[in-house]
Parts: sequence; C-alpha cells; structure tokens
Amino acid sequence: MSTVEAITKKIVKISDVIVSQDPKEVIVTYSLGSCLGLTAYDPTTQMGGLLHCMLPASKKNKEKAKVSPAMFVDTGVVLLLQQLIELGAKKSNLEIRIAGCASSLQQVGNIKIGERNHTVARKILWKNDLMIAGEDVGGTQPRTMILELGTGKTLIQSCGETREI
Amino acid sequence: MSHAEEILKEAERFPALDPTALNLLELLQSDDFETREVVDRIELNPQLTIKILRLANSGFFGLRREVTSVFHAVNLLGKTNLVRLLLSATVGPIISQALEGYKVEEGELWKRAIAVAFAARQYARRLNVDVEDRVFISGLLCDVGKLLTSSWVEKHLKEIQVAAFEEGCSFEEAEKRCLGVNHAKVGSILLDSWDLPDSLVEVVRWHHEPTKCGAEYRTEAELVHLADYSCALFGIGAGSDGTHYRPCHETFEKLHVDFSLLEKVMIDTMDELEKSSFMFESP
Ligand SMILES: [Fe+2]
Repeated sequence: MSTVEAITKKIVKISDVIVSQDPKEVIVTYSLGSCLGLTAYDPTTQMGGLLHCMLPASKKNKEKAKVSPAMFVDTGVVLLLQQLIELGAKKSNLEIRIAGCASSLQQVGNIKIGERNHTVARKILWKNDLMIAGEDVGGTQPRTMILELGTGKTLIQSCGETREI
Repeated sequence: MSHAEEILKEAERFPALDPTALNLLELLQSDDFETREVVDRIELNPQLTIKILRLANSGFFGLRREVTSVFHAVNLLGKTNLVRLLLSATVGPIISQALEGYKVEEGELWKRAIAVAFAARQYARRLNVDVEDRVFISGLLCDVGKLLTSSWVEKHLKEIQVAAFEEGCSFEEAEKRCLGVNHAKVGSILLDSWDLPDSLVEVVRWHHEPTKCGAEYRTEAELVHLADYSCALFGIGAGSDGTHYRPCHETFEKLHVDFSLLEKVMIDTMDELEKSSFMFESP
C-alpha cells in the first residue's frame, strides 16, 4: 500500500464537466480525439474543473445546448466558469490549459473539427479575459488529460508518456 | 510461417459467435418472418431466453408488469429492440474484452462498435440510402478483427507506432506493413469462417478502403467507413491508434459529407449511445 493519502479519481465523460475543491481529488478525461479538453484552476482557493467538449459552436443546436451545454465549446466554457465561480473561485485567478483538438491523418474539406474547437476555445477565453497558460493540441495521437486539485497541475498522457503543460 | 499466415490461422481457430443468435439476426433482417418463429428459436436456447427476459425486465424499457414469457418479451420489445438485445447478448461479451495492443480498457471496443453502428445508420438515413439495418450490423462488427490483431499489435507496437506516427502510414496501414494484414482483413476472415453473409464480410473487409469494395456493397462500405472515421475522430473507444486514420476523400465527395452533416450524425449518435447504456451492463 502506498503511504500517500488516498486520491479519488473523478472521470469526465464526453460532453461533460466536473468541478471540485477537494485537494485529494484528481479529475480525468480519457481518449481526447478532436474534442477539446480544458482545465481551469484557481491556485488561491485550490478549486478547479475539467471540461470535455465535442463540437465547437452551439449556434445551430440551441435546443441540444440547453440540455447538454458541455457538448459545445462555447456553452461548455461558460458553464465551467459559472460552476467554478459558484463554488467560490475567482475568475481573474483562473489558470487555463487546453488539450486535444486532434485531427485525422488527412483532413477532408471543411471537416476540421479539432481546429474549429481550438479556435472557438481561444475566442471565448479571450472574450472572458482569460489567458491560456498551457496547451497540448493537434496531431493524431490520443490524449488523456488530468487535473490534480492538490497541486493544480495539468498532466497529459499520450502514447505511454506523461507531460505537464 | 509469416505473421500474416499465423494470424489467419488463429482466425480459423477463433470461437464462433452463438449460432442461434446469428441465425435469428439474419431472420430478423428479412422482412417476412413470423413472431412465432422468432420465439421458437429463442426458446431453443436457454441462455438467450434468460438474457432476453432479464433485459426485458430491466429498467430500460420501463415496463410495469413482469415479463415472464419469451413471446410476451418479443412482442413488447419490437424488432429494433430485439435486434439490439440479441447483439448485446452475443457480440457484446466477446467484443467487450480489454485489448492490450490497442490500449483500450474493458468495454471500450464494444462502446466504439455500438457508436459506429448507430452512426452508420444515421448516415444511411440522412443520405437516404435504404440499408439502415444492414449497415447497423456491419458497423457493429467492422473492427471485430482487432480481437485477434491486438496481441500482435502489442508485440510490434513500437514498430507500428514508428510506421504510423513517424512515417506517415495510417494506423491500419501500419498494421499491414508490420504484420502483413490489417484488422479489417482479419475481421472479414473471422466473419467468413462464422458463415456470415457476403455483404457483411465484404463491407468489413473494406471499411477503411471503401473504393476497393465490389460495386454491389460499395455504398454500405462507404457508410460504414464514414461512421468509423467519425467515431475515431471523436476519440470514442480510441486507444493507441488515436485519430490516426485516413478519410476516403472520394467517399466524402461522392456523398457530399460536410461538417454540418457530420455534426448532426454525431449529435444523434451520442444521444442513441446514452439511451443504450443498458447494452453496456454486463449480462
Ligand atoms: Fe477499423
């Protein structure tokens, strides 16, 4: 048995968001492809959250976005920020990191989901005066994204390697 | 013996799917069948009977009264649900295992399979091609070959990763280069050895290269290709292969598949996937 205090793992599914203020928790999302993974963390309160969105914009899917706002990057980011602020985090303290937005080996026509997700994420963060502190995006390799509430670290696992962003 | 020969030999020894259930699935694909005939065949197989009754009584269908006869269950469930139940009772258990080579955990390949099946049917509907039920099954089984290629991929993972991520092959092209066969070919050989229809064997064989499929089943192969590509792109059940697949440009152009169609198909697919979560429960 490890001597470290037990860490609880919470798993974010596709089109979902989880926030937490428990330093003994890690929030994880698996197999990010073209989807966007985004972590936001307030180091002063040790509150943070992780979001996993599939599609860039809710504009043409208003009804769907009402039921499932985390499916889209634009409504998902707003939802994550709302939940963190409700929890007591301060928006101006938030460190934002993003991952995923992969493409396939070749792109077809206008189907650039990964790129679109990336662009919309940058726009919506910019509108909210939030800077991106780190990112690990593009390419064709799968990614797992992890937020450690205790340390505030965002880790990316891909092809057997782990790196901090 | 070459790797390819050894893999194909393994395919011949691979345990078959439950033949009763497969016959039933085939029967259900035809338009003229009697419910009684379906019920009789189910009752011949006690394991299947138990599964059907258990699933009919599971919370998913929200039935108030307990279902105690197969006849009652079949009538209540309707054809579509019955096909789903049969699939989850037969294909589910074998396709749910974790795959070391592809680095997918238990249940992930099954989830991917169902997602591809739903997406293939969505594409068929939205593109007005009348093959919904057939593409559902070929979508479901398109990656079945991974069950066999997985241990080989595991042994040769470094080599395959180099071919794929450094030398520009797609993941299945890298399989072919390093192992001599890809999972699509192995899958088609498995299905053929289980005496499944040619349409299924051919569509699975060519789901990554639909233009090579014979004219008779090409449209189906194209639909399954679209579905498989879309699900891979979103990382559903993705593992060591990531999103490292090549889209068939000809197919996308021919069927006019653009961002907005793909978006609609995937939103509906995720909806259906959520509603079918009962299929992931272990039987
Ligand atoms: Fe495949």
